[in-house]
Order: sequence, then C-alpha cells, then structure tokens
Amino acid sequence: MSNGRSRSQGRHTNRRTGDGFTSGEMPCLLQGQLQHRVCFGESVARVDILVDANAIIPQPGQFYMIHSPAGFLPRPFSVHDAAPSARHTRLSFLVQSYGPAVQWMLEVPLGSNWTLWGPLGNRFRMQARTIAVAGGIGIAPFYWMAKRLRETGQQLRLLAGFRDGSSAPLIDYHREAGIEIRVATETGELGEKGYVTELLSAELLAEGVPVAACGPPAMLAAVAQRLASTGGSCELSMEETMACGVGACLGCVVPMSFGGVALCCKDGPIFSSALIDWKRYHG
Amino acid sequence: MDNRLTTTLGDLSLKNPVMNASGTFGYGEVYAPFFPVERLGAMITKGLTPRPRVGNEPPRIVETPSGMLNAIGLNNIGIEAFIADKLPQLPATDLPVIINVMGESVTEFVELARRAAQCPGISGLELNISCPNVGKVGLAFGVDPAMTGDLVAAVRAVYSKHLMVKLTPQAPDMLAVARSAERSGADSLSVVNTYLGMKIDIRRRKPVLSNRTGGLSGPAIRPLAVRAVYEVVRTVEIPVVGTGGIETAENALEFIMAGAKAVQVGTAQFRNPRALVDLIDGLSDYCDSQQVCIAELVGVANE
Repeated sequence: MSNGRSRSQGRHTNRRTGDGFTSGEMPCLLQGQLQHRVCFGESVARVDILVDANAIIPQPGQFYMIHSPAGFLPRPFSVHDAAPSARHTRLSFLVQSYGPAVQWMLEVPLGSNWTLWGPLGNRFRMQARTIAVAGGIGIAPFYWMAKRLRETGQQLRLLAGFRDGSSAPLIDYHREAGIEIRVATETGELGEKGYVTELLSAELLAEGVPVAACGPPAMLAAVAQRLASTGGSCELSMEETMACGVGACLGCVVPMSFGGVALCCKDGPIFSSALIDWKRYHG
Repeated sequence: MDNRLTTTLGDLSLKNPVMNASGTFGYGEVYAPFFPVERLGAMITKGLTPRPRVGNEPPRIVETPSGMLNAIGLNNIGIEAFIADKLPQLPATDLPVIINVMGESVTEFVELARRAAQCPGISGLELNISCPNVGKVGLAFGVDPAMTGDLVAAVRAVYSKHLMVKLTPQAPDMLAVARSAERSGADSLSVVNTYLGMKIDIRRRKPVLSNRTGGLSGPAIRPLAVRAVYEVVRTVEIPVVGTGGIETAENALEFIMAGAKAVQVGTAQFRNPRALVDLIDGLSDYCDSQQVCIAELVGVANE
C-alpha cells in the first residue's frame, strides 16, 4: 500500500472566518443510513438519516447537499431537525418529490445508505419574537428553528402557505410538535383563503418584529416587498440551482443590490431582503 | 507518496497525474474541508482575467443526462486579488500551482503571463483559449490555428515556466490548433474543454440558461474526450493532459492509456467532494493489483 494516504473525513483546516452568522464549523462528507421516514401525503416526507456521532449539529437555516443515485447532481436540503446521541447523530430533512432524484428518497428502503455533506451556508439570526413565513416545502427549516428558539425560552410564530388541503398532515405534524402556526391556502380548504403574505398583517409588521421567510421565489419577493413597504427588511432563505454547494461551481448566484452577485451556497442561503437586487432576480 | 504514480509534463514533475479542472475548485480553498489540497498532482485555479469579472446572470447551470451545462462567464476575482489573497494561502511546496488565464486580446494574455512570471509560487499557466461562455472572444483564439499560434508565441516570449494550452472541441480542426500551439512553444495541451450545448425549458419556451448556450461536462462527454485525447496524442509530441467526464480511477486510466500523461477532474467533484483523492487512491490500488507504474501505461492503447 502507498504511504501518506488520508482517507479520513477531515476537519483539518482552519475554521472559516465568519461574519457572525456563519456557523464557524467546517462541513464534512458523511455516509448515513435512512433510519425513519414519515410521509405527509404522496409527495412530501420527513427523512431521518443517522450519521457519525461526531458530526456537527447544524444551525437553523444551514443545509446539506444530498446525492441521490437517481439524479446526476446532488441537491441542497435545509436542516429540518437534528439530534445528537451517544452512538449517532440524527439529521432530518423534509423532501418533496418533483422528479426521480427526490422520488428515490421517498421510495428507498429503510437502512439504505445516503451520501451527504454539510453543514453548509450561514444561518438565521435567531432573534426573539421572530415571525417565520413559509411557502410550501419552504416550511422545512422552521421546525428546527422553533425547537432551538424554545431552548432559550422563545416561541417562533409560524405563518405557512400551501396550495390546498393536501398539506393537512404536514400542518398537524407541526402543531403536534407544539409550534404555533397560522395557515393560508390558495383554495381556502385550510386556514385563510389566499397567499401567506396576506397573513403578514399590518398589526404584525407594526410590532417591528424580525421576519424570516423560506419558500418559492415569487413568495420571497412578495414578502420582501411587504416588508419594504413598511420600511423594513427580513431574512430570506434563498434557493438557487446548485451543482456543488461549497462555492466551487459558481452556479448559484443571487444578484446583489450593491452590484455584482453573491453565492447562495457560501454567502447565503440566508440573505437580508434589502441586499437583493429584485430587478435582476430571475425567480 | 506513491512513487508509481509520478508523471512529468515537460519540465514539471508531478507526484501523481491527478489535477482538478479549472473552474471546479475555486482558488484551492473550497475543498479544503474535505481533503488537503497538497494531495493533488497539481492544482489549477479558476480562470483569471486581468480585472475581476462578475460573470453571467443566473441561471448559470442546469443538469442534463449524465452531465451538466454551465455558463458561468468567467466570474473571477482577477489575477491581482488571486496573487495577494489566495496564493499565499496555498502550500508553498509539494503542490505545483497552475493558473488558468483568459484575456480578451493577445496584449491581455501577455499582461497576465508577465504578472504570473513575477510570482515564484506559480508553476505554470494554462491558457484558456476555449471558454464557450463569454461571447465570441472566449472561443475566438481556440478555434483558429493561426490565432492560437500567434497567441502562444506571444506568451512564450515573456513566460519561461510551464505553458499549457487548453483546447476546445468546438474548433473545426482541433488537430491543426494542437499542432499550431506546439509549434509556437506550448509545453503541454489540456484536452478538452466543454462541448457547447443547450437545454430548452419547454414550460417557459426558452433556453434554461441566461446565456442560452453552455458548456457540457460530465460523463456525457467522456467518450468524446477520450477520442479527442487519442487523436491529439497521435498528432503532437508534447504531453497531453486528458479531461472530460472523468469520475473514477478506471475513467482516468482510459485517458492515460489513450496517451494522456495526466488528467484533470472537474464535474465529478460536485457529486463527490472527495472525488479527486478517491481517484488518486484508486490509481494506487490499480498499480498495486497490476504491479505497474502509471508512466508505463501512458499510451498503451494508442500504438
């Protein structure tokens, strides 16, 4: 055998110099096993992956790249929940099928091997009295955020928008976890009829509370506009097509209001809505 | 270090034949959490221009069957920021650092080469005469044997260290471009850059990429690239570095057996952040099991 090999999954380099909202921890390549899967209807599931006990516990808003054997490129997934234990660290994600790569995640048997790397990106600021605005599967990071805020005695207020009543199991699951959630559906089958941005009422905004949002591009733009109309800004978890997730491919750019672009994977995925150049944002 | 993996590119000695492909590795820092960069035979930077470039508007990348299209548009920090901020962070020994450079004119290329020549930490240049994503200027040199020859000669006149030229498969006669680069003083050729492609979003009824076209990489182009290496090796005397869809040691061995003295690996890293070191370990395992050195395998399928 050759000398000087290092097959270890290293954390051997200096810690990234953070801006205050990076986690300061270096990402790791992880091999995990699918321990548990809870389906919420036909196309959405929570997947629990067991990885090495020494794995870093991620911060709310951070993400992992998960490589599905049914897709060519890996895809980014926000951390939905995490728990350390003596033997394993459990990392949980909410996945929604929109093609074969994620469909694999909904169908692969328990115990199967998963390849993922992270934690990646920056995190939410975790401010007291935060209102979280979620669109569809964009609800994913707020379960973990609510759990972490609760550890410091704070309650996350969650406003969640969905297309129709098929999201009922996902909403129930959040309520059962003790998360305060108000719902809007486009069909009116659950909660208020309309878009989730309409739940972001003038009274709420008048409180001047911090707002964090995650969801489809049009919804993020609408939330940003709503905040801007009151002279405020919010934190947005942006999603762009990524190839690598680590700052190598330069594919996932977000246009910045001060000119140029930022990388969603390295500079984000959490951005202040005031920093995004919405005129150049393609959505 | 595994001595059976050593290779040479002219006067450049490499401890193994594996380097990253430009534009998939930042400036040597992005995969540092996953493996020590000094494991590589050599490192190649993201394409550097005289001044920083923002690159193209998104969407810049899209997945395709067994590959991806990219149209990044040479988003880079510029050669001065690289020399000031990134180069000092790289290992001073045991890792040849090759900078990929792209100018919009012969004058700009020469300016980049002169600047690189002043830096002891830079072991060589890879001339990017084949970027498909920055308008006409990116490909202009690489598709034309005469323009390539003039450019390589001009850079050669001011640069004495290793000079690699990255060929584009978009050239109507790539072998003529290869011959021209060799005649004008290139030390090695990297073969090949991405193939131009396009994906249409049928819902929006327009190309997915903002640049409309992009460079196709990944296993989709591997057989095309193996054949390109095979032909170039038969055409020139200078060493060839094979690249295009390499993911594993077995893939790399195809290029080596076609005649490449080293390989570059790009897109595979996006699917496995440790792809480069897994590949190096795989080559060691192969040399163990076959009782051979990499140098003995170069060109064995190209007799």
